[in-house]
Amino acid sequence: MTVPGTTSPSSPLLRIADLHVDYKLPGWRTTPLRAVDGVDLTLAEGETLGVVGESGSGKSTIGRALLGLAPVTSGSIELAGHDITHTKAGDRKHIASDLQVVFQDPYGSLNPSRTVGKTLAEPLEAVAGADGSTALAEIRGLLSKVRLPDDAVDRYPNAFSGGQRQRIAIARAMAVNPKLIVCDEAISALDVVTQAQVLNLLRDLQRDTGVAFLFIAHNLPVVSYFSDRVLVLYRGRVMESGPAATIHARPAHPYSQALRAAVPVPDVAAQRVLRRQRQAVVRATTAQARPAPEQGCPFAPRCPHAAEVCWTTRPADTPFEDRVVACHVFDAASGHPQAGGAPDLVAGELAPTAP
Amino acid sequence: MHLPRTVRSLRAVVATGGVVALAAGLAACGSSSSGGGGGDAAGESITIATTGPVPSFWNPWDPGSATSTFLDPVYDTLIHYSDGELQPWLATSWEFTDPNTLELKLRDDVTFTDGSTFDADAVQANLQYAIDAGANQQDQTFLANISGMTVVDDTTIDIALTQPNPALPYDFSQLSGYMASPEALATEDGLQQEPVGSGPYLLDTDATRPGVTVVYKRNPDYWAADQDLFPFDTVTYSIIGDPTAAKNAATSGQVDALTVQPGTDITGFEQVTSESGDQAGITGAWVDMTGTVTPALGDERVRQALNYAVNTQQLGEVAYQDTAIPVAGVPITPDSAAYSSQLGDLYSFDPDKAKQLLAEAGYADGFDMTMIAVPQAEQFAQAIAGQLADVGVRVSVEVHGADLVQTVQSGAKSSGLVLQRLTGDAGQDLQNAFDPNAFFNVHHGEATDVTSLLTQAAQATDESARNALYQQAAVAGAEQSWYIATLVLQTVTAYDPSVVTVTPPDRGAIHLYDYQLPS
Amino acid sequence: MTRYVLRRLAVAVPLVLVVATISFFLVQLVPGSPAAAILGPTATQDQVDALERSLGLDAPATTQFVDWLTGAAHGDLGRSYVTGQPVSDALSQALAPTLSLAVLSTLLTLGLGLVMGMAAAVRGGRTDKAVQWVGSLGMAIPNFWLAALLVFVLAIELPLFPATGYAELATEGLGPWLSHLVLPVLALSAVNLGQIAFQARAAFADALGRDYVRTLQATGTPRRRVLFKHVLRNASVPVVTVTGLTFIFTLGGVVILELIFNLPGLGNLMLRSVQTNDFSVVQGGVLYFSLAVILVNLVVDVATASLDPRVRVR
Ligand SMILES: Nc1ncnc2c1ncn2[C@@H]1O[C@H](COP(=O)(O)OP(=O)(O)OP(=O)(O)O)[C@@H](O)[C@H]1O
Ligand code: SF4
Ligand SMILES: [Mg+2]
Repeated sequence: MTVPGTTSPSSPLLRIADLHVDYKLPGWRTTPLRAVDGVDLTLAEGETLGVVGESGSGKSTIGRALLGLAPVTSGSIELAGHDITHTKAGDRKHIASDLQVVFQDPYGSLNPSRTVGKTLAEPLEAVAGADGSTALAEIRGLLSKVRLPDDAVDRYPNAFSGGQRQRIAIARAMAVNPKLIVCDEAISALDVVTQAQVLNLLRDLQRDTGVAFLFIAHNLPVVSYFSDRVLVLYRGRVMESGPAATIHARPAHPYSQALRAAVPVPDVAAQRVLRRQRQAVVRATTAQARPAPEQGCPFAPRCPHAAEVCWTTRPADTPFEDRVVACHVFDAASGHPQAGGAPDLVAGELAPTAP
Repeated sequence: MHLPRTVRSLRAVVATGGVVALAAGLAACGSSSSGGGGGDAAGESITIATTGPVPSFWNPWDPGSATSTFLDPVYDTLIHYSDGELQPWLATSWEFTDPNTLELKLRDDVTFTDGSTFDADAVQANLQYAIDAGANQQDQTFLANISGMTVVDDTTIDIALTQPNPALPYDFSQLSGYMASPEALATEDGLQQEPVGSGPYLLDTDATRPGVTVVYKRNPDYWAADQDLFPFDTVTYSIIGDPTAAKNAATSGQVDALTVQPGTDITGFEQVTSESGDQAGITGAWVDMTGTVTPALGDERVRQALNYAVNTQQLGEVAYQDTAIPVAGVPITPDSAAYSSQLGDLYSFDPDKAKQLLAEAGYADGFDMTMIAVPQAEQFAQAIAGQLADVGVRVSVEVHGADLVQTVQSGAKSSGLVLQRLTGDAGQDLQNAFDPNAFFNVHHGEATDVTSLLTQAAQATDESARNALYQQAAVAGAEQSWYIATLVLQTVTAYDPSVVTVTPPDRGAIHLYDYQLPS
Repeated sequence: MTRYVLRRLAVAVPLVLVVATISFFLVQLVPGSPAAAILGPTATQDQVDALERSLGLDAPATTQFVDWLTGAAHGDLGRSYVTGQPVSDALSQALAPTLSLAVLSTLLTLGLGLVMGMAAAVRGGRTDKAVQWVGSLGMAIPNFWLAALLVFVLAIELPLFPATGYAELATEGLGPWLSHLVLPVLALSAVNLGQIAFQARAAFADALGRDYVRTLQATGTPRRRVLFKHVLRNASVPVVTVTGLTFIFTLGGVVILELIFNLPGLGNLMLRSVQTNDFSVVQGGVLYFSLAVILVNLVVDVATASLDPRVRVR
């Protein structure tokens, strides 16, 4: 259902530039909450981009802005060559064939009062304009694609397990052959075995259809396992971005390292490094009473390497090896006392910055 | 439509509520269907609100039906009472040939709606039925005094009495006077569904809705049509139990006349207060004058003390907004033939005298007594109790609703509130009040001085001699002090002066013939 | 679905029996003899005894109960002690105004409450505030006071509607019937409107926050379609439940409004019958009210089941 000639190899499927999203808070004269603060990203056809970060870091907000569900303050979103920055949710009929979504909550993502068949027919009728009988054939096809039995059509969502429901939600998203699916914590509510099943399903579907995923999750190992590239988000800003494998193996940014440190590993030596990093973050966080600076690095209150410059100047996006890192330590010209200590930092050998 | 600004903006508010479409659509139907009064082109009609109870049977001698409101349109009484005088109606004249015999002369041109003829036999059939059925509503109890009847000819009947009752002709203008078709009376359930009388109206069964409205239309064959005593073509009784609802109905023009509670004001309506009508009666409290329950009350001085201790004037003003007349323990108002200045002087509010009387009787420290009240009158009872407390008499008020009758009959209580309808005849009302078999008089106390004076009065053929005896009986009764805190209640009738003028009589029922077109 | 309804009915029948028994013996506990009340204070004991015999009130309570129950099973609730009218006739006559009032009020509150709740949840901001104000105001005003106000403004000052009374639908037609009911329905609805609007607001807010709604929005489903095809049905479930409760509550509230507007309904009839010790009517009335409550619960259950498939499965 793509409009012909809109994607040339040179232009990516999705391009988000300098995205800012502010949520208006309830109450009178409250300052709006900045959930996304100048995010850039691109995503090619058939690619999977992981977005990772702790709760409240703005991951979902990026997805929502993309889907027209969050108010974009500034910046631009371009999908398949079309600027959709300010296209409201209600006017997205023409975008819907390119862009679909799978949400986290397997219980809330399906309308409890409609049969699975009806739920799956919805996008077909609304977007593709299919009539009842062709829709039914397609629905059966979809159900087999997500490995659900035929008789699921007439059953209500409450008859299915969480994993099955997510597969139904995926089937719904796949129904119109979209180019991009936003998976917002699509597997986070499932148990580990089911997670793996669903991830494999997604991967198979990607192989068969060439769909791209914006894969949002808070678990770095899962994200890096499933994604081609990863974007580490903290307080609405991109801390580090690059190939999934390297970010997972050797996180560069102190925040990425903190994220990584939260995940247990089998190797004893690696364990020791991780424990040290965790303790450093805990010590830094406990020692620091100052809130995150408006100008400067948002991670400064928790960073073991925070220096004065980190509180006053926003770190530039600095290329490092095969990735981009927003940290003064990686920027030789930043004036950070440990600037140039990047290799040690990546190795987990850099001593905490003296206060 | 030109409307005041506030009303218009109010309508706007209603409109936003989403009902204005409904409102606009219904307004027309609403006002056309609800028209109660006003000069209809087809003829005058009147809607009178009443609290009921709704008659379910149409037998005037049945206790459940005996209310003049619903009987008046369909039954004639033997005699009318207006302008303070008895007026001929079905009976053209009446005369006591001796104190124990009343001779009635009757009309010969009246038929009942079932075709049967009104004559002396019909009168005999009705009165005999009443006696056999034990009809006992208000003045009907006095029919038991009839010892025999002689039909002299078609238009003459002699009624013999066991004891003289000079009020009998008056009674025949009240509940005792309604004449039903003798054939219907003789048939079992003959008056169950519909009335069969000779009255000015017929029950409009199609328009009548049980429990809601009772509608009467003109009797086309009415024998007295040429007398123009009943100017309305249609008479509707609208049964409205709630006083506020009745007032609202009147204010909005759905009702043209109604009985209202004292102190009610209805815009555009005129009001008249009378000792007649369905609110008229005597209220106060009876006391166990035999002293069976509370020995102190067996002493006349104690009972008199209670009457001196209560400020009846004030009680009436508070409870009935000036429409109640304080009386001295007997149902005799200053308008009555039985009233005397001696009676008027009794029991003016005097707590000191009360205390003195109590002390004389040996109750200087007061005593304890109970008082039964129905729930609606609890406050009234508490007010009496409060005043008695000031002279040391401790009254505990007990409220009884459904079990009132049993409680009174148990004879275990020392006093209770009364609300007694009055016949309007001084002799009968005094006799009722001092009847040894009265409802509350469980221990059958007697006031022999009162009853003997009343018997003498009944014997008296000369009216002024009779009235003098009544006056003595009233004073004697007041001194007996069987009742305390007594008030004679009046009826307040409100009416729309553009539709009707109501002229209530000075006693008895307010009849339909008291409702006339405004002059 | 049929199975579900049958199962519910199977529970309702014994419930009716229990309620009938309780209502009969409860009324027996009320002191006072109907005969004495009918005959009035001037009656003699002989007269009272005679009437009690003719009304069958001298029989033991259990015998009376069996007779009554046998009759009731055949739709015969006996005759009014006071008026002699068959009790079932008296009750069915009185049922029409009461039901008209309660049903119209429920429809009005349900319709308006849903719209208000939906508007509040969807539009938020000022609309939300306005709905909360109107709802709270309605709940705060006592219905008899509102009734007085409505009568004053819309019947007396501006004679749009009759102040009191009732017109039968069958004999007098739709217009008069409705016009007599407008004011009582409005007075009755104010309290429930707030409740239903708040319930609807919460239910809509909850449904709107669900991921399936976001999915629909994000994939370009028109807002109307989202609201009416997807959200309305799910949001209705709690609203229907609350409506069932308010309906029962409304049946209670009807009594006072029937008095104020002089509607010849069950409330007025019951009140009058209690005052005159007309026990046969009171018993029948209690039975009717209980049946109404059981029936309404049944209807609510079935409605919820048809709206929400989850209920049916259980
Ligand atoms: N509708 C909203 N109105 C106001 N603030 C919001 C809204 N949605 C999110 N926020 C705030 O914006 C910030 C980012 O929220 P977001 O949902 O994007 O985080 P997230 O990274 O997806 O977190 P999680 O892992 O918990 O889903 C948070 O501080 C959150 O409280
Ligand atoms: S910029 Fe400073 S505070 Fe931020 S991550 Fe780097 S060292 Fe830490
Ligand atoms: Mg999220």
